[in-house]
Amino acid sequence: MGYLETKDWTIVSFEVGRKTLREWREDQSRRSEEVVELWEHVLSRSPSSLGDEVWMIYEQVCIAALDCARYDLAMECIQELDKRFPRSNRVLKLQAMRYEALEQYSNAVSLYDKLLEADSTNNSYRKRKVSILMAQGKRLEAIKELNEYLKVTTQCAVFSSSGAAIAEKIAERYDELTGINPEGPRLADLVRTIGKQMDGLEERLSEVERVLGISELSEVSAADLDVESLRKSLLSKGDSQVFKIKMEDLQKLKSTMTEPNMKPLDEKLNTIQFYEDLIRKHISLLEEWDANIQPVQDSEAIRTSEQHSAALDLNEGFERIAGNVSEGSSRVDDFLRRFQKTHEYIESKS
Amino acid sequence: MLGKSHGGKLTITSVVPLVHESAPLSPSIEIALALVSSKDDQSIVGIYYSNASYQDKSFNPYSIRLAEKIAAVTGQSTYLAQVVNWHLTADCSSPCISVYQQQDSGSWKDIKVDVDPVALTLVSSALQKKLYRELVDFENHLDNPELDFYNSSLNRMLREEL
Repeated sequence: MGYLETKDWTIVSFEVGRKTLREWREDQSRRSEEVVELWEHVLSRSPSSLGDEVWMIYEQVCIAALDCARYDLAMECIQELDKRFPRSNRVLKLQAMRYEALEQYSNAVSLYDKLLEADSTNNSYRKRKVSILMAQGKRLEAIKELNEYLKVTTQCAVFSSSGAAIAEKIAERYDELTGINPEGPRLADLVRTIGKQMDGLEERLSEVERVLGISELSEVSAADLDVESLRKSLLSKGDSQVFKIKMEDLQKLKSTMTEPNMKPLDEKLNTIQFYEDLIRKHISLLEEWDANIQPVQDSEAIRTSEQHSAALDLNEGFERIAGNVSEGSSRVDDFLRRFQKTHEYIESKS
Repeated sequence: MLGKSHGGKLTITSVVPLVHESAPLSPSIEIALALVSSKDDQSIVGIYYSNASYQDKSFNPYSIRLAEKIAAVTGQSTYLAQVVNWHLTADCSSPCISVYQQQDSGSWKDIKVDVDPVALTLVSSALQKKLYRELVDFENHLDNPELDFYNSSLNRMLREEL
């Protein structure tokens, strides 16, 4: 799909309209004007046939309408959503965004504050507050608020992203080192898949972090947090550390994973456990491999066998020469025999 | 902005849209400028921009830096054109741009602009026909190399409108 797939959205079929809106929702395209067009000309004809998808579409159209200053349409969507989900935070957020678009900033901020009180971990409200300050041109305050926002995000985001990255890197290196069974499932692919399922397991990861001896890095204060460099240092540190984990630490790791009070997370924990087991198994495999290869490399055997083969080469040469000689000599014999015959023949004639 | 100057007057003949992000990165802009300046006989004479915030009419630091860099390379004074958001209306009753030229002191001075009235009606009808959806900038081109940031097909459509 090209970025500029210009189309007359007013005449597409109901199904195409529905599919297009879904696509734009999924890849978070900001094609507000076209969303409004699709809604008004195509989908609003029969909202009831959209099933439960209609609520997501109302939300999408509402935001798009605010973007196009179509406050009437936005209000319509909010009212429909409010009827279905009375006093929902998600609908309140739309209401606050409407205030924002109408430049009633103090109303918007007080609504966001109320939402934050109810759910302080939802960072999207903080993000909206930052953008209100930006819209008012209050840069300094915006930066302050943004710091607050980052404080909350980074604490959860940094490790879960770098943890997955570490696992991926180790797996990749392992695959590279071994090269065993190239047709089989690659560890890197496995870890990547598992990594996607690791969301929301910060607690578990911090335990892993502690055992691996990289936990002190996460104590960095949020204000001087440079996410990128922190990630890098975690990566460089974690990567080498993982290869040095002591067996007892791994045991501890395993016991924390199987603690009974973590039961509700059972399934997800199992995947983590699986991936950690894999890494551990592969580390021991690697060590074994290293241990086995060392004496081979150190031993005299290689040099001896080299001499052997050189000797073999020599023998072969002799044989070849001998062969040549015997072939030549048989030719000489042949010639001599014929010469003899000719000689006898000439003598008998004379 | 591309153009020619003659007799103390500068005529802007063409523009090439570069970025739509508010804080663009320098490598992509460098590439874009190198491509544009090597393309035809016209030379780059300045930068046009529009602020993200509707009520913001301040100088954009990125555009200033860019204009100063261009001046350093070309050795001529560059022009800065700002699209003033609140002057943008559907009927395009007035030109919505303010143009500035950098003085030797380093400050930017407001200069007088003449806009062809035909251009204003053209822009107005282009807005009504939603031709702005066809506009491609260099950033879009980087996302999808098939997109033409010189916008030749859009230009063709605009010519048909005349």
